[in-house]
Amino acid sequence: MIANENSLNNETLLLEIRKFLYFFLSNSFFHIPNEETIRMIIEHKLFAEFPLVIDNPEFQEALSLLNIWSQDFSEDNLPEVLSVLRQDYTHLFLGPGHLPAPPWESVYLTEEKLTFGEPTLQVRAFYRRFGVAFERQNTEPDDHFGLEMEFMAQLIAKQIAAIAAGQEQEANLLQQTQLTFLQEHPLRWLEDFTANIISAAQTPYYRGLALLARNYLTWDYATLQEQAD
Amino acid sequence: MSKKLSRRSFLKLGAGVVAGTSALGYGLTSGFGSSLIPVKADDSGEEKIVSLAGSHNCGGRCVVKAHVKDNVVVRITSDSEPDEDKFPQLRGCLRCRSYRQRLYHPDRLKYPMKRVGKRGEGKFERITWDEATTTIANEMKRIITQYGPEAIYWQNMTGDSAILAERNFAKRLLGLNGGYLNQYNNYSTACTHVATPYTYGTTSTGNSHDSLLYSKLIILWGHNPAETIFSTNTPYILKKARDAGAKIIVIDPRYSDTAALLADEWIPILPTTDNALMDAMIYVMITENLYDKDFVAKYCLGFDEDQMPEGIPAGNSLKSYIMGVSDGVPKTPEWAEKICRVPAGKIRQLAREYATIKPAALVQGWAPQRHAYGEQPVRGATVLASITGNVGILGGWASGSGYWGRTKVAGLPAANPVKTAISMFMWTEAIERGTEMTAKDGVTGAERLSTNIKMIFNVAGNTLINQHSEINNTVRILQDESKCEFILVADQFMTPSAKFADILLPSDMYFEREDITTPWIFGDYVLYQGKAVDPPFECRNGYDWMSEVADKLGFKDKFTEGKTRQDWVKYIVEQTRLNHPEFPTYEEFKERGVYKWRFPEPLVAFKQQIEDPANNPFPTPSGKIEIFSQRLYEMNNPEIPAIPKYIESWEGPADPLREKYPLQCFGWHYKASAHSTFHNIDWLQEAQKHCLWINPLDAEARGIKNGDRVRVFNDRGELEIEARVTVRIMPGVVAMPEGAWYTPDDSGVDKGGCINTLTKYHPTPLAKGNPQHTNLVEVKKA
Repeated sequence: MIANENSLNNETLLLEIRKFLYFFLSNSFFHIPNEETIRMIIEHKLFAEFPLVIDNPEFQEALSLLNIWSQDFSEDNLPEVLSVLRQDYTHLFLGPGHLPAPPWESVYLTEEKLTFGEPTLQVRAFYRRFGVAFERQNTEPDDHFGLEMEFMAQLIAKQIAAIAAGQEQEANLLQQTQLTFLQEHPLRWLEDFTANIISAAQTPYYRGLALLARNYLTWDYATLQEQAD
Repeated sequence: MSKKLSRRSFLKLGAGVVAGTSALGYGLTSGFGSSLIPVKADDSGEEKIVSLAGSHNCGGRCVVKAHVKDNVVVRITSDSEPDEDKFPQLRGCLRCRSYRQRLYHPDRLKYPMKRVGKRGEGKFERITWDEATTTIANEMKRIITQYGPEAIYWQNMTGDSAILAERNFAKRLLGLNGGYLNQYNNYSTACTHVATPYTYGTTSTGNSHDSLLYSKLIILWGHNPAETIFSTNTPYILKKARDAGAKIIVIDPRYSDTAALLADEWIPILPTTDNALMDAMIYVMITENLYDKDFVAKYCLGFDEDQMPEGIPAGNSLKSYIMGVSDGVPKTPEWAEKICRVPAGKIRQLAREYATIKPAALVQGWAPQRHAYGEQPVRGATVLASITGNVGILGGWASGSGYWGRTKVAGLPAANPVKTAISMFMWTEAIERGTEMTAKDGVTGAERLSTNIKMIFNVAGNTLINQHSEINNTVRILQDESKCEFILVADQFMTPSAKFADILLPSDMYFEREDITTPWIFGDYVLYQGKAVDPPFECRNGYDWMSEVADKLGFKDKFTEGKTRQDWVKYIVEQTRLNHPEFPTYEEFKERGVYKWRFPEPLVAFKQQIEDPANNPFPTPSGKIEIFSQRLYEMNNPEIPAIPKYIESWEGPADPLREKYPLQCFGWHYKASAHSTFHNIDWLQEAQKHCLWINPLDAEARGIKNGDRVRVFNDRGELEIEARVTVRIMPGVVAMPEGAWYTPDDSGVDKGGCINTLTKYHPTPLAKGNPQHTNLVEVKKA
């Protein structure tokens, strides 16, 4: 369990929030929505009382879209809301048929627009250098947006642990790694990927999520870079 | 945008945390789950090379080598066996070399789905494999109980044509379930398959292709091996034959790549009029005394009135028909010119050359028989080959089906207790009015069908919509869920057929399964298909999920016989070794990837019948080459004459419908796909774009410029396509590659440009085959 706010200094608090957001994005993009996640969002008023505010109109638009979606929601219509979200997720990322927003980096960064291209193997190698691998790496591409988000969350978790253990150098290295990974991977296709979602999504939820991801990652990268300078 | 948290937002952040604390905790306690798991050191390996082979329904079968690194196919190469003059390499073309484009296409089907919208609407929901196989098993049980086995139809499916393709396991599965409605014929060769034996008694009329090296004249009639790849090395053999001095003539409405690259002469001809040209050639041979009189006397039946079976009235022989005795119309070159547009002088030259240059091979492609009266050119060409004495000799060619084979590779055992069969083309009709269909509709094995088709098993096939005639008719029939009650589709992509699935399954591809494949029916070799990588996502091999269905139906042990897929591959090798002790062991075969038989000389069809006729009659009722067929005569149907004749075709050049739809339209196999497989691959579209070929005269009359989008339409449908204005197609005729994916817009206009939007459901008279090249259309600027 997380301690209350008094036990967290600002630095750790920010890390916890960032970690949470990366996990949240990972979950949102990697999995078809389930009841538990939707309940979590509603019970914690996640979008109404979002733990991070960025002074940026597009970020605000993202939250406002997500809030609009939340307000349409009640205990009675949960199955219906969930079903609409699942349809949208299926249409965007699962198929069958043409995917309007394929969620894999390789599709955006290779000339051939295929999965399992060079970027997939680069991402796989990056994960491996930090001791992790995608559990289904032989049958699904490693460079799914949701996995890249989870990798960021894991790096931040490690950074938090390093700070707690007093390993300052390790913590700095992990922060530098986040910067490098963002730059070399998610940020190179974030714009195109989220633009695809925004134009094809049938719900404010996925349009909002796409805008949120785009602006949060851009902000996070800029913040990390500033801290590095 | 602020690059860091502003003071205000930072405070807000602090304030937000209180409300969001528990949400943060959700993340901390791993409420989100994790997919990135700890690993030890880098376990990526060296690049390995796996030998495999394409097995989609292509005329070629070639060696493909997958270069695999870190469980990913990173590169594709082809045959690395020695490239010998007599045994050339089996090198793949663009299609297989572009296979990474299919393997790693983001739009591959990935999960089992069930239909949630109306049938054909394309709305699906992901389900588990367990739900999918349970539904299939339940429907198989329900439909066979309610309607009987003839209600279950095993669709014509060729997407995977390997020996252990899922279509073959599907036969096993449906057979063990109690059976299914059989089919005969196929969309490639229906008419030749049925008509050829009326001349020769068999469809095995082809020589091995290396026999063409002995020909002095080769006529490729509606035959385009350079694009269709009719056996991997046929174009190479033709090139060698021409280098050795053979003259090659191509007869085709289109200046095909074969005509452009391999021929000395191109003779354009209007579609559906081949028999007018054939008749006139025979006329020339008779009047100029050029036919092989000894051969005709010794081996043929029905050439002239002296050679007719007993009891047939005078005037029914070939000669009587050709000379106009029977109908008052001598089949002169001038008569033919008006019909087929080949100049009379050219007809005389062609007839003289074919009758006098020996040995000569009239190799009949399968295009002319995919017409309204497709039986006639088949019989006509066999007659030409016979009266010129080119049957049974090295360098000659008997024409007709052209099947040949001298090796016996084993197959998967599958038995069907049901004997009733329909022509593969008539399944849409059998959905609507099966119980009314009898022998005159081509039903065999029973007097009539006992039920309409109620369930379709469609694994790796696109005939369900795309490759069958008259798509708008098919759509109408399949949309009605009360007619065909259950449709199963397994495929790799969301094809036009897959959209009509009730249960849609994601298939594996070659590269992802082990198998063995042979070329269509031509070629003395067998190819091993190794497994290079695992199937992605939840894609599964047909044998795998069908075993699960069999389990739920209670006959898994009978279905699998306890064998894994690899056991079946080994079984095929072992059974083949019983036929051919020289065939390698499983391990040797796997290592090398290919086995080529080395026969000392070419195979020649009917060699024995010609060399020793007394002991080797032709397998016809008379033992002769039947120019006149009494069996056909007794059918007493003017659309099925006893000797080959030119029959004026519906939607041919003489049909009054031309006033409304003046252009003849046909399809061809192009380099960018193997039927509809590969059609969604961008690379191949760059190599050859899907376009309508139209002659400058026809284009100009319609204000159409090269590259314009045009509408092609008739009463059956309308499509849109890009125009290629070119003299490579004769005036009055337009053509487009077959295989493009039917993609209707809201008003039903096919933006994908699938020719079957325009083709007609109208079975041919005898074979009940598909007349997919017989179409009249109009073209206008879009």
